[in-house]
Formats: sequence, structure tokens, C-alpha cells
Amino acid sequence: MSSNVCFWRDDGEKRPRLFSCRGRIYLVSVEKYIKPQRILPPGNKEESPVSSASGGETREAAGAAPIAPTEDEKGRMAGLPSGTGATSSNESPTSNRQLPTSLDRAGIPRGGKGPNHTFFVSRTVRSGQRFKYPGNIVVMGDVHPGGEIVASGHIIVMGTCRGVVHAGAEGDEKAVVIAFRLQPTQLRIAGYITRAPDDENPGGGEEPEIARVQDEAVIIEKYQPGGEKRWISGSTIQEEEEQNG
Amino acid sequence: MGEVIVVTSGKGGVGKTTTTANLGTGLASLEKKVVLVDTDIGLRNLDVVMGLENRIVYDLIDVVEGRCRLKQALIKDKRLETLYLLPANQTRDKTAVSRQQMIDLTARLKEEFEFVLIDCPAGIEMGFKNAIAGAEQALVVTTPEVAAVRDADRIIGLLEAAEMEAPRLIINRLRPDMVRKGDMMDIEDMLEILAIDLVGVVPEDEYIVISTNRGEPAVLDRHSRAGQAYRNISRRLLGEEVPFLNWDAGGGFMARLRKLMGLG
Repeated sequence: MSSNVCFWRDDGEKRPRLFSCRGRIYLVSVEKYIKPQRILPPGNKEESPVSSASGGETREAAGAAPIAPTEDEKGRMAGLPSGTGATSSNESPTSNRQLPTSLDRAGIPRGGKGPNHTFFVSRTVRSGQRFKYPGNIVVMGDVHPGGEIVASGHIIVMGTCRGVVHAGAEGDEKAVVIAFRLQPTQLRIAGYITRAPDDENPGGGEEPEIARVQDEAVIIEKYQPGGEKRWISGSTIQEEEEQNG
Repeated sequence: MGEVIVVTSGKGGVGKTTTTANLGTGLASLEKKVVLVDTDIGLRNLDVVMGLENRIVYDLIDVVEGRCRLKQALIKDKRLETLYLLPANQTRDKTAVSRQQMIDLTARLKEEFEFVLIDCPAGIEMGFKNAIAGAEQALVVTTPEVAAVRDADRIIGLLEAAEMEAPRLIINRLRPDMVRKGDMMDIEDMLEILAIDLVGVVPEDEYIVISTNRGEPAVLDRHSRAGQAYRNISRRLLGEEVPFLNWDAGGGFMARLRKLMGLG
């Protein structure tokens, strides 16, 4: 097991504060716990009626003068098989058709049915862009500060990850984040939210790293080739075992 | 009941966000309970200037759309106990919030805080209208440039049309040496054009760039001249009479010498 794991609780705080280790750089957990969220499969609009109404105004504005794609782009990766069980109580009719944006072409869905399919983002995720997918997300580029990746499964960033990443957003604590350069603004796995401490630079970045939950803390360690079998396949196998009974 | 003050300018890049961050920090360091509200939805910056970007979980849109409670979205400052930030959303745009929602939000905030400072986006469109919707007072920021003063004049007109209490002026990035040489508009020129009360003059200061990039407001630095100006404005907002900074001191030895010799 990883030898550089260290976390402790500070009982002086109202809520336990968790520190997670990464060599000599510690991640500080934010004193908030994020509730598991339901990520709808592409095509289902998750916005509340209020925002779909305002979305209409956005579209008109976009028609008059092309504007960079906005929030509507999230989770709109067309042509995917519906995820299993990914339904929502508050989905609004999809008659509200949207103009295609360049982000529609930004990614390709891959993989089979069920929660294990993977969405590929083949571009840099910039500030204000958000990809949300009920499965795994692989980014073939960087994630800039202000960009956000939310996946119910694992997240892999081929370049530098400086934005907000949320793996296992539906509550899967076995989800991991792997990046070639892992320097996120905020790193969330399931309900855990962590950030770098204020007094140190983001740290890391010298080698590919993997973040995962262990012993109620998020740990970041050097990515060991072959180690993914332990963390990625392991969680899949276990999930299947749970499903089978 | 607290005071709701919007910081606006019309033109972009004149220092609205820097002013909001510094005045909020200044008021909080005078032990007032302050909340900063970033209404620049889609182009948020106040969180970065405050160095609180990595703490954002929920934002203004989550609050107005009921996805979280107001308390959950408020981020406590890392330096001052009585200072909070309500960040803007980065993935949406100005149409995501309505005037009525802003009025309701500021009404809730002013019950808990003594000062609600609203950072307004540039422009005069929906973002501006939303930002001023719940405000009772306005601070207009301008720089000593013709374009910025022209836009400030337009904004003051719109604020007066919205029946705002008399807006007050902050002149930002003034360079006393250039004013003395006649290369920059001076304070009297601007006051004559805009005809509103002056609440403060902030000198150009390299330290602002450093502090903005570090996410530490200059107002906390005892050696920064701009920080001193912001401390004075904070005290004036509390109703104190604070004399304006002495500009000659900023001109350096040579400038004072030239003035002595009658050349300045």
C-alpha cells in the first residue's frame, strides 16, 4: 500500500478537518460535503424551468451574433445510448432544441452500455466550460482554471489539470482522478472536496499522479503503471459483484 | 439592516473588482460584517482577486435557483473573520439571474451583514441592471481618462434614472506626477464634468498588480499607497471625516525640488 498516506483530524474544529498527503504538500479539505448528484445521460435536460426559459434568451442572442458556447453545452453529447437507471424527476421536455455548438464536436462517446462508458473530450477545457457525463471522462488536453469536469466515474486528464474535477459525482468513492500534471483548483471525489493549502504552491506536476479516497481522505500519489488495475478494475469488479448479489 | 452598495463604472478595466475587494477588506478590518457579491456571471474575477477561488462549491446562481442555502454558498475570507464572498457562476451568463431575484437576494443579505458590496460587471446591459437592482447606494469608479469619464457620466445618468441615492465617485489610478505636468486630467476637471461627490482618490501603485495576482488585497499592506487610499475610503464610508492624501508626497524629491524652484 502507499507509504506516503497520512491524514489526521483536528478536533479543535467544529467539523473534522482532513488533510491529505502528497509528498510534502498537503491537500486541505473544504469544510463542505457535497451531496451525490444525479448526472443525466446526454439529451436529457437537467435544468430547472427557470433556466431553460433564460436559455431561450441565450439562444436568440447567439443567433444574432455568434457567441462562445455557454452552459448549455454541458452534458449535451448527442447520440449516446441512455445510461442505465439515469433518469430524473425534474427533466423538462427536450422539445427545446438547441443550436449546435462547436463543443458538440468536441467529444466522442466510447464504450458499451451501463455506467462504464467513457466520454472523450478532444480539446482543451477552458474557463467557463463544463463537461458533465454519467460515466468516465478522458480529456485529451488541459483543463484550465475555471473549467470543470464532472463524471460519475473516473476522470483522466492527458495534459495539465488546473480546473475543478469531480470524479464519482454520483457518490462512488472508488472513483479516481489521474492527470499527467495534477494541479487542480479543487479536487472532488464523491462527497470529498479538497484544495491545495494557501501557504504552498499547488505542488506536484513533476510526474503523473493519481488521486483517490482512502481512509476518509483524498490522497494523491505518483501514478504507478499497472497500479490502475488495483483501483480502476477493482472498483468495477466490486460493483459488478454488488449488483450480482 | 445593512447598507447595499454597488461598485460600478460602465467602462471595463478601471478597477471595479479591485475596489470592491479592497473596500470590503477595509471595512471588515474595521470590524464591520461585510459580504462581497460578484454579479459578473460568466466572467467572475472577484474570487481570484480575493484568493478564494479554490473554496467555491456553490455560487450565486445555485442560491437564486434554490440548489443550496444562502449560508452554504457564502465563502469566509481566509484573513478576516467578518468578511464573506458570494461568488458568481462561471459557466452561465448574465441572463441566468433576474432583477427580482437580485432584489430578494440583497434583501436577505442585508439582514445579516452591515455592508453588502456588489461588484458590477462592465457595460450597461442586463448584468448592470441586475447589479443595481437591489442596491441603495452606488460608488462610481473612474480613471483619469476621457473614455472612462465619459462612461462614468453615462452610468451616473442611469443611476439617477434608477432613483439611486446620490452616487459617489472614486478616482482610480491617478498619477500625481503626470497631473502636475498637465498630461493627465486632474481631480477638479473630473469633478466638474461628473458633478458628484468625491469619496476617494486612489493613486497608481505597482503594488496593486502584485497584490491582485497574489489574491491579497492591498488594503492590508501598510506600505502600499493605494492601500492607504482604500483604508481612507473605507473610513469615509463609515461616515468619518478623513483628509485626502497629500499628493505632493508622491511626486518624489525631484518634483518637490522643481516645485520649490517654481518650475513645477
